[in-house]
Amino acid sequence: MESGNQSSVLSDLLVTHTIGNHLHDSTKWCRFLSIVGIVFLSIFVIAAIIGGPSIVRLVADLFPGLEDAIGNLIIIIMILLIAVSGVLLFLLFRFSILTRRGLELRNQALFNDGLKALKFYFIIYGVIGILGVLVNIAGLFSL
Amino acid sequence: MENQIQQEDLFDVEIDATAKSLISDIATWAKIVAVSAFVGYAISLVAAVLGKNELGSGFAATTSKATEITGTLINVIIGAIINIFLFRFAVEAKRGIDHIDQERLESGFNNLRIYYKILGVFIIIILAIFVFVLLAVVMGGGIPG
Repeated sequence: MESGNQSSVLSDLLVTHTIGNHLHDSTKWCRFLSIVGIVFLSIFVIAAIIGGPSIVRLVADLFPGLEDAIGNLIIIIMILLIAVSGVLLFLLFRFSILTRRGLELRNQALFNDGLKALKFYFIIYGVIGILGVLVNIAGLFSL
Repeated sequence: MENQIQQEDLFDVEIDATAKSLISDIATWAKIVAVSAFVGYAISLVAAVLGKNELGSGFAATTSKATEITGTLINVIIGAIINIFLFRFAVEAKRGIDHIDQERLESGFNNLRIYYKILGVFIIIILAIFVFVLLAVVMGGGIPG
């Protein structure tokens, strides 16, 4: 019975040492990327808080009569940009930590949670990619 | 002995039904990311070649256009090299999951590793350039002129 279970496990997909090592390396680089990203995002947020009002005023001055609308639009775009980047970096960091811990502690639930974080990361990234292509196509037709 | 080696070669983590479904979804969305990047690069190349030159015509305009196309081309080549690995991860991992092919899955995760490694090295290079420029500015500002 035991040997039957073992053979059924061996006939299915497994996290072999090769896959484990590839994932371990991936999580190492992901952690580095997410930490660097979080540091730069924090610097961007501080810069936006300090220099934001003057930038908004400068840009708004270019559109007389629409100062308030343009100012609000810039603030909304900035908040959206910071929020989406923050979520992406958080998911990448979560993937790196949970998958690594799942492999090290041999914990299936942690491993799957790490993969779930990577899935949401790629879903958000994919939606941004599709939107980017649509914007690019629109830009191409305006040439 | 053989069984022992096989057991030692495995983490106690399985690719269970949940993990399979997650990897399959990750591969699908990774493919969307890679393909949209390729399409974006193609569009930016077309835009660089066909786009109007604000400087009009003449030597300055031609030089500016050539610089723009070269810049876009470098950008596209670097981006395409990075995204090829993401695309290969998506294709191999999906095939590995669908056909229960361990080797394909391993190859897929190897491509994911290379993708993140290239991104990491790229960020290190950008950070090094950033620090170099910052130092140059600080030292340049310190020289009395």
